[in-house]
Amino acid sequence: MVNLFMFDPFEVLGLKKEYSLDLKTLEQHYFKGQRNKHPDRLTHVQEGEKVEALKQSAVLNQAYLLLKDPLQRAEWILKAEGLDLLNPDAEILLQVMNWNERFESGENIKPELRQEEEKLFKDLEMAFEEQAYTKARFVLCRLIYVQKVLKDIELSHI
Amino acid sequence: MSRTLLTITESAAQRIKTLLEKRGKLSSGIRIGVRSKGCSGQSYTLEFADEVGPYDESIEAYGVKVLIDPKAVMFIIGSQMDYVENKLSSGFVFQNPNEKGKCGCGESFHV
Amino acid sequence: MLLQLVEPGQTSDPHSHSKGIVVGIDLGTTHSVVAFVQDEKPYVLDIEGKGPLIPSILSLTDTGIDVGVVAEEKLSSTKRLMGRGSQDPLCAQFSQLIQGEGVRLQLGSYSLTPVEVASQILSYIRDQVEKAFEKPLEAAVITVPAYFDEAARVATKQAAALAGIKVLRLLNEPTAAALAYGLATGAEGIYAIYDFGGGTFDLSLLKLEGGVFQVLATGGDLNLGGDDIDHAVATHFKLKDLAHARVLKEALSVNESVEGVSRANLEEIALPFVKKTLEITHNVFREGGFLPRDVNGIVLVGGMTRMPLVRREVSTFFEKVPLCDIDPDQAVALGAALSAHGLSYGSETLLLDVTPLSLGLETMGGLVEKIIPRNSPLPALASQEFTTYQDGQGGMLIHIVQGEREFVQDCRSLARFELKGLPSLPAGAARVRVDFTVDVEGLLAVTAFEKTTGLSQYIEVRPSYGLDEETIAAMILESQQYGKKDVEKRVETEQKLKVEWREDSLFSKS
Repeated sequence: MVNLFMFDPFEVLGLKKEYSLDLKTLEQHYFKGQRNKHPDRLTHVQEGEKVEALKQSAVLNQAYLLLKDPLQRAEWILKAEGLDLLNPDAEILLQVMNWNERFESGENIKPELRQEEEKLFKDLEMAFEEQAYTKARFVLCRLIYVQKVLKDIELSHI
Repeated sequence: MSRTLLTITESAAQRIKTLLEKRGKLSSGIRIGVRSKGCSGQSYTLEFADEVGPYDESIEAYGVKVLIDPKAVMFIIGSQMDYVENKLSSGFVFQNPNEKGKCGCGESFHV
Repeated sequence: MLLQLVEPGQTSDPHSHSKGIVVGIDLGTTHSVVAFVQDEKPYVLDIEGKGPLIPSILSLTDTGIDVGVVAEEKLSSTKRLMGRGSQDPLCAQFSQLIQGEGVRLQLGSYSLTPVEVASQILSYIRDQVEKAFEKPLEAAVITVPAYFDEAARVATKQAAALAGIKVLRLLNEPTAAALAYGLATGAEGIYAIYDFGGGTFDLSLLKLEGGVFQVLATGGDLNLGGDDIDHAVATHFKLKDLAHARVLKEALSVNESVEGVSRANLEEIALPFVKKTLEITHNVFREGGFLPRDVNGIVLVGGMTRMPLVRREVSTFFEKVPLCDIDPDQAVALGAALSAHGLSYGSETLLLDVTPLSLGLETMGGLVEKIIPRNSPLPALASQEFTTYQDGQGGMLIHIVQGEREFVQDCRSLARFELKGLPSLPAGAARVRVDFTVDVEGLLAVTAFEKTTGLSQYIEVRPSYGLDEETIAAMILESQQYGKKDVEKRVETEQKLKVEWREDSLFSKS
């Protein structure tokens, strides 16, 4: 897949490198970029330029997708700070097992997980605000697992 | 300039007004230019104008401002700009007394 | 030539488009519609005073084969076979199918591929446009179902090339409809385009904002259309003629009872098909992360949406009455015309579409690794690095597939190619980067790049039973020499020149 260090999505979209980012601002920058680079807008340019524009337009799409997802956004900033994703510790793994067991026994654990997710998102935002990257990495690891369990629950409903 | 630079018919002016309104963006008017591309030497360009160029010639007719690129003046002098429409197409047309030849489609000309 | 007022710097070169007319073509399963733009407004073209609908039917006449007249012996709904192989179960719906290699249909003494039938329809459209405007057809935007795969898209482009039509771009049908609706009404917000046509069902979820048409998610089924309901009706009432079933179905949309069949009878047969569309709709919403009741409006497209049952079920599903202020048969063509006009003369509108199907690579054990997931915004780019597993390994096999399933055998094979001429290096030392690009039309290109030596290779992906550009050029030349209707000669050429897929010369120094 996309090498996270191939490009700087914030730079591509002309945004400040910050975790806190509202969707509206992201979209405005993304649409503005595509207005200049989307192949449909460049029907009168030379063939060679078209190929280059196609690439740039695709990179804009990648940057947009990456930044739209708060987890990928957090991961990218942490990597830029030299921090790779944390491996799960025993505590979170036990917690996941516990959730799975309770779900399989028929308990509705969704509200609890949603609450946990919301709390973790707040913690993550705070950690980035304080530039406490080690803490942010710890919170991100938990958030990834909470979302994974939530997703599994949703998929099992089909 | 003693000779009329360019006359604009009422229907052309009306159409320009409508298009400027539809554009929704504050415009300084429209600009007529020429460029040396086309099968018969020169061709007109007709674009919205975001600002008035320092050497632009400017004329007003029926409340619309039409700017003429200085490079276009010698080609356009004495012409009439009209707007025509039929069942399947519509657009602006220049009747140019200076033209000596036109390409088949009328989009480019030479003087 | 009449001049148009354009945005600064957007004046196109003289004669780049001004010689002819640009149009939008909705090349439909049951009928096709062509539209054009005048005064920034789109209009459908009336065909010889008979209205805008052109039956997508190729008939056998005394003089040859013809579109525009409907004879006893005819080929219809062949769009459903575009880009399909002869093993496809859908082929069973076609009694004219010739057993043998590839998909060919019999019409009198003619043996035609679905691409050739489509090119005949497109030629007819071109003639009609040129007659109406008294100038050549310069270029066109042609629409395809959003769920069309790579093979079907390429097939559509081949049909246009055979008909001598320059394709400005292929456009997804629901996106075209959204464009027509959005530009006509100035609507903003989240809109669902429910497109239930003769052959296919598409559901696209779009965000309309400030001239941007952003597709958020799309889904569909290529084997779910009005034709399938016709087949079910014909089977249920033991009707020999499919056209009879269609007439019955259409009449019951207006009347409560026809030929002793009540609307309730028909609805019972049609309900499972309609339910299936809602299932797809449900999944698109789930993937897009929206609730059906969140949408600002539902735009109905395609002839099937005239059925009262469809309108009822859609209203219940969305808890909202769908919009019907745009003709469901015309919306797609009108949008295509607006797109064609915008691409030729410049426009403030921006269409951001997505890929309907995931693109993947075959890995160990016949498993698929997804490299560009579906619903990715286009154009999309993905890179993958490969290495050798043996010392001095000179080549590497790469197999690209399209689809959502886990196993290669359940996905559509797009291309299988070998990277040859790798430098002799120990196992794991060669580094080959493969870039996959999907352009705005949903078409794939692959570039391979060996990092240690800087060798590169460009591969244009063609479906395995497709034609390469030289073949098409030869076929066009032939059609000019022998006349448009003389298809049989062309068929011979095609068989002679048939290639599996095209690969440019292997590894040349870049």
